[in-house]
Amino acid sequence: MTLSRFLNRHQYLFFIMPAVLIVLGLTAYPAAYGVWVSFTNLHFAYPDSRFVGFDNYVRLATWPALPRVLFNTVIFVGSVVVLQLGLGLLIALLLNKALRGRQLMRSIAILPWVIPGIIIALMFQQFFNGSRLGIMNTVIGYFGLPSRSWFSDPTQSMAILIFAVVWRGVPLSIILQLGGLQTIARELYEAAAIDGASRWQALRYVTIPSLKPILLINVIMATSGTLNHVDIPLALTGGGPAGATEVLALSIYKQGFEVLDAAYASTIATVILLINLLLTIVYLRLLRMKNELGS
Amino acid sequence: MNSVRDASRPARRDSSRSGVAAETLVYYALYAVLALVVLFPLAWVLLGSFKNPGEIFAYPTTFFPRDFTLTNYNDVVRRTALPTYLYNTAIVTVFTLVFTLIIGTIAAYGFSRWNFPFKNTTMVTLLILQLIPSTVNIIPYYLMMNWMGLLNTRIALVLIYTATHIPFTIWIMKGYFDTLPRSLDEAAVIDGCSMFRVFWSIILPLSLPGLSAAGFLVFLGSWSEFLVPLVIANSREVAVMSVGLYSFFGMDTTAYHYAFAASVMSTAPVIVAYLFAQRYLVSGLASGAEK
Repeated sequence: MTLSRFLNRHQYLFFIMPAVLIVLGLTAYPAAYGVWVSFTNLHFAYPDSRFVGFDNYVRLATWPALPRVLFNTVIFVGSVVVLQLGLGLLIALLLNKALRGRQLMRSIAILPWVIPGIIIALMFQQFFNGSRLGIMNTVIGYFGLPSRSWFSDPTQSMAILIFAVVWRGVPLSIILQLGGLQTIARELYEAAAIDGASRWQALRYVTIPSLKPILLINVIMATSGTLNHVDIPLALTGGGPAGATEVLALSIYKQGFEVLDAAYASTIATVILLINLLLTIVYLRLLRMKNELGS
Repeated sequence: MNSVRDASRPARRDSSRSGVAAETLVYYALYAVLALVVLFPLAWVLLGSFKNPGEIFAYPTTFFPRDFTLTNYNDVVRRTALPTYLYNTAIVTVFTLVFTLIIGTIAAYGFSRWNFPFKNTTMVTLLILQLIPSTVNIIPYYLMMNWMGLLNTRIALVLIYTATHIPFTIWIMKGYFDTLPRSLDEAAVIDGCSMFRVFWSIILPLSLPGLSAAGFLVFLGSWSEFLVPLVIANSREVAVMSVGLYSFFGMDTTAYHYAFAASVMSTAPVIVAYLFAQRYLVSGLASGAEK
């Protein structure tokens, strides 16, 4: 049999094919299918659909809510990425110091990352809840401030949403950057010390440049992770009040499963997919750069 | 990673003793702030789960329970569907874990031990597919599962989770397999072992750290996933923990005394897994993410 001879010569196929097939079938195929749906008028409330060309994209471009959603998305993603990176670096530097209790502290710092998103949403909802029950109102009461209804104010809602997502996201930065800090050769710091560099100069001219590839990878991972994140926005604020925290990824869910406009949701998803592909290309470039640097 | 862990310790030792002490004090103050920000919300929920309902609804809000009670846990288990949700979550997670680790490690071994055309292209393609989030695929997932008659089944969740977790499992495990010398395989093959046998009895037992790291990530992902089950499997009988909690507590929660206990019960398994897996995590994750 030629087939059996073929398989005998290409034994690796037995090993890789199951994985390749299931991954292609359940990630690549749906992605392509979603792009196709964005060119139809598929609606979950109607059985039939047909090809409509770029109609949905025109509708998206002229969507009255689009400027607000895009603005929310930029504020949300931008703040989360900056805070995650900055706090991640500071905490990674702190946890890289040889101090007693460091191991325990690392475990504590990484803890938020394992808490399920839905629990984080529930927790922060209770924490800030508008009624008198949330402990945050008691805490600000100690400072003589009156209780407030945290989630009825657009700015406060967005701030709490960002805080919750950062609270959960900083550990990933810590993990990546601690990994990076540990690959920086000690000799570099010794050389800097001999040259009379201050702490600040050592950070500025040794640590940051050495960490640069990891920091950039962290930027990409945080950007794509936050852009695609639905769990906490959906369960914590649900886009409210009055759309003040509705971000692009949440619009996919709302258009698809509340408005039932599958084609429109797919159009938004296709836009996000394109942004993701762009980020991925940058990510792969960075990985190559990093490997060439040999760190 | 341990060889250079003290890289940031100052090489000079000429600073004065009091200066060092003051600096250490600052670091420990920062430790305290960090611990407070991380642990305060968690502790509030944990302690809240032991308060009696009257105290939970009282004002001003307390932090430490006045008297410890297990009433809330009792009520949650008896009066809500949380046990069903947790059971569904556990079933989906266990099957996802088994399928992902089996299919993923076998593929990783294939990628590690053979050279073939388009090998790197295939590996990078898997990495790119990993970066397509479920958010983007959520409409197609719904349509595909509807078409296959798998809406509101746990099988649908296991299928999707397995597919989305295989790529990073392959990357992490290939990294480990690459560090094991090929002479090991060759010796066993000369002794008459099949390649599958070599993989199962020799390579896999040596890769337990990698397997733990990958396994924990798969566990965490399947346990916590929210959007996919919310759309694909939201009927009461098959709802997982995240969907159940979301529909139960909705947007404004008034059943605090249930919420605290339910949150603790839903999070405990991941925390326990984290405590077991954490020593492999920082190294495993960093190496997986950097490749």
